[in-house]
Amino acid sequence: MVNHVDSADLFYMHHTEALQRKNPQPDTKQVVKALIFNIPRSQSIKQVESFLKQYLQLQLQSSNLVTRTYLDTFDWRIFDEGGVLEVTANKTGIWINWRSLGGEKIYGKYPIEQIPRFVWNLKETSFRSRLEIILGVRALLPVAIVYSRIHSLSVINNQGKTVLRVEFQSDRVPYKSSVSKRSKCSAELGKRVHLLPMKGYEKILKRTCELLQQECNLSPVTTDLFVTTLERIGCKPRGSFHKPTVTDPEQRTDIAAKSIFYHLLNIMEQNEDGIRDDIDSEFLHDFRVALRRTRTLLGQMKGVFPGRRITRFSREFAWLREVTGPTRDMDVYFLSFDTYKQRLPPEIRGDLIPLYEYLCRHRLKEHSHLIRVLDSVHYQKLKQDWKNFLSATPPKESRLTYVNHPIINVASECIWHIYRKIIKKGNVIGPDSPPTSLHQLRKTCKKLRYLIEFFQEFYPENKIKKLIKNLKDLQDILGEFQDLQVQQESLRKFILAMEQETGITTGTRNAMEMLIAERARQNRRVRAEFADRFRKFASPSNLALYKKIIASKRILHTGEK
Amino acid sequence: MKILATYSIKGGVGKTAAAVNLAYLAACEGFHTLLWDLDPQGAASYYFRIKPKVKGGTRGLLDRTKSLDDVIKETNFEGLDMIPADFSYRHMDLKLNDARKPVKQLRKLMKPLRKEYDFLFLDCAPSISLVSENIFYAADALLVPLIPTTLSLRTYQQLLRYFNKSPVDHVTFLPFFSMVDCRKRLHRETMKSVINEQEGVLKTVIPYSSQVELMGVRQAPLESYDQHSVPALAFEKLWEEIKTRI
Repeated sequence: MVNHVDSADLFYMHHTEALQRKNPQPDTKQVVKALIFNIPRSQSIKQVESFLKQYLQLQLQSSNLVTRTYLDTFDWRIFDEGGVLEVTANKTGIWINWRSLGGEKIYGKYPIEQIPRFVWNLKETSFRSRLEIILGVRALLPVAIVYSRIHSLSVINNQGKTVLRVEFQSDRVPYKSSVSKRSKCSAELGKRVHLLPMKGYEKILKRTCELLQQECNLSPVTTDLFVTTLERIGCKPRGSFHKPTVTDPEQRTDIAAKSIFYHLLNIMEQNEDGIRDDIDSEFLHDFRVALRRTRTLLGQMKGVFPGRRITRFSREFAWLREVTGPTRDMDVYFLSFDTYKQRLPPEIRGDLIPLYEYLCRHRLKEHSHLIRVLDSVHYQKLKQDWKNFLSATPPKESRLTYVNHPIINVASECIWHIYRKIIKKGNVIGPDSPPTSLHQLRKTCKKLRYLIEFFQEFYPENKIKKLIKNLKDLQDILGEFQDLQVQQESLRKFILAMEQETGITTGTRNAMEMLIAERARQNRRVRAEFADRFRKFASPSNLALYKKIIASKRILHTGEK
Repeated sequence: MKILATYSIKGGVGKTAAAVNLAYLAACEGFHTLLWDLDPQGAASYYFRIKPKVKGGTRGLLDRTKSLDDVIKETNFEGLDMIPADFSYRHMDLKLNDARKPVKQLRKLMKPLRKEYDFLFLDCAPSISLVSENIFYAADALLVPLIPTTLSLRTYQQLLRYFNKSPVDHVTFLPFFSMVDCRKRLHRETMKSVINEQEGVLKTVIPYSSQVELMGVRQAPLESYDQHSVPALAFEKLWEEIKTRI
C-alpha cells in the first residue's frame, strides 16, 4: 500500500493555513495543538498503556469496535468551515460528533437513533442550530467509512473525577479493489492514541502530551484521520464549486468567456446526478444558477461570438430554464411550508395539510418530468453542441468587433451598461408602478451581480466588495418583494387547482386565503422600503465608485474602438 | 437557552437532587446542559466529584476578570458541564449589592452562554436574598420542590407573596412534591389539599428514598447508576412534565 501521508500532511497544512487566513484571530484558550499521536509499528498499544499507567491513574472504560461514518454535504460545507462531522456506531448506540479538523475542539456530541439526512432530522438543540447555519437545506451524505477498534481509558484525579479521556485506536478503511470491483479490501490506517480533553482540566492534558512526546517518543499526528481516510480512498474534498472568475485582464474576450462557460457547464453536469437522485433541493438550485449565469454572459457576448450561434444557444438555454422551473418552484414552496404554517394561528395550522399533500403530489410529477428532460436527446444534444462550440479553436482573426479586445475592457463595458440600465429602470419606478417593473429590475440586478462576480479579480478588492454590498442590499428587497408576489399568485392558483383536483374544505380555503392576505401585507411593507433602497443604490457616491473603477476601463475610454 | 432554577426558601427539600438528576437527563437527551452550583455548601459539585472551587471566586466573576466560560468544568457525563460551587458564594449578596443594577448581575453573567447551551440549571442556596432576586430575573422557570409538610408549604406561600409584589413576571412557577412518604397520612392529605387549592403544581411526585441519599456515596446522578429505581423513574417523569411546561 502506498503511503499517502506526506501529501495528506501538505494538504491538511494548506487547508489549516487557509482557514487561519480566513479567521485570523488566534485561539488563546487552546493549550495544546497535537492531541493525536501515532504509535509506531515497533510499539504496541499495550506498551503505551503500561507506560502511561506509571504516571497517571487510569481506569478502563470500554473496549469495542466502532464504525465511523463521516458526513458532509455535496459541496463540503462542514469541511470548508474546518470541521468534521462523524457518526460513530457501536454496540451501545449511535452518536453524532461534530469537531474541528484536528480534533482540538468538540462542537457537540449527542446520541441519535439513525444517521440524519438533513439537519432538521436532528433534535432541536443548540447543536442543531449551529449546524443549520452551515448546512442550510443541504443533505448530509456519507463521504467515508472507517472501522476502528477503540480501547477507552479515563485519567482520574484524587476525587475520582475523570479529567482526561484517552483512546487507543487502530483503524481500517474499506475501499474498492482496482483489480476486481466486487472484492472488498481494507487498508490499515495505523495505530493512534487520541487524547480527548475535558473542559476545565487543561493541565493534565498538557502533561500527558509531554509524557507521550518526550518520554514515550510518540510523534504527534499532523493529519486528521478524516483527511487520511479521504486520501486513502482517493476522494478529494471540494470540486469546482467556487464561482467562476477570470484572473487575466488582458486575455482575449472570447477565450476568457469560454473558460467561464466551461466552468458553468461543469457545475451543471456535477449537479445532474444529485437532481436525478433527488438528494436535496440545492442540486437543482445550483444547476439553475449556473444556467442563469451562462445566459447572462451569453447575452453580453454580442460582437464576441457569431450572432447566429448566440441566438441559438440563448433560445436553447431559455428552454432549459423553462423546463427546470416548475420543480424549483415546488421546492421553494416545500422549503417555505413551515414558514407558511408559522404565519397562521396555531389552531388552524392543521388546515394546511391538504396543501402539503397537493405540493407532494405535484412535486413528484414535476421531478419525474425533470428527469425525463435531463435524459432527453434534446438536452444531451444541447450539451454536446455547447461543448463543441466551447472547445472549438478560437479564430486568429475575426471580423467580430470585440473578439480581440482584452476581457477587462469588454467586461467593464458590459458592467457599466447594465448599471446604467438599472438606474434608468429604477428611476421610472414610482409608488404606482406595476409589480412587473420591479421584477424586471430584479432580473437586471441579477445580471449585474453575475457580471461583477465573473470579473471581480480585475478591480480593487475593497471597492468591488462595496459595489457588491450596495447591489446586494437592493437585490434583497427586490427578491423579497418578488417572492411575496409570486407566493400570493401561486396560492390563488393552488386553491383553484385543488378545487378541481380533489375539492377543498372551507377550513383549508380560509387558511390559504388568510395566508394570501398575510403575504399581501408583507408585500406592501417591502414595497414601501424599495424607494429608500434604490435611492441608496443610485446615490452619487455609488455612481462615482462605478465611474472610478468600472467606467474608466471601458473600451471607449481606452481608445480601442 | 432555557434557565431553570431549583429554588426554595427552605433547605433540605431536594433541590440539589432534582437539579443534578434533571440536568443529567437533559444531557442524556442530547441537550448541551450546564449546571451551576450556587450553593456554597457545594453538594451538587460533590455529586459530580468536582472540587468546589472557582478561580477568582465570586469577586472574579462579578468584577468580570473571569467569565463564566472560564470556570466551567466538564463532568464525567457527555454533554453535561458544571460551574462548581465556591465558598466565597456566601458573600455573593454583599458583592452584588456593590454593583450597578444589582438584581441583574447574574443574568448579565449568563448571557454569553446562551448560544452554547440548551439548558442551564441553577442549584440555588436556600434563602431569599439578593442572589435569589438575581435568579428570579435570570430564570425562565423556577422548580420549587415542596415537602408536603406545614413548614415547607409555608415557605412556598411566602415565595408567592413575594412574587405578587415583585416586578418579575416572566418566570414560570413549577412547584412539585419532593421527598414524599406515602405511608404518612400527613403527606397524603397535605398533597391532596395543595393540589385542590394551588394551580400549576406538577403531577409527578418524587418519593422519599434511600436510593436518592445513596447519591452521596456513589457521587453520581441517580439516573446514571440506578435508572430503573422508583425515584429515578420519577425524575424521568418529572423531566418529561417540565418539558411540556417550558
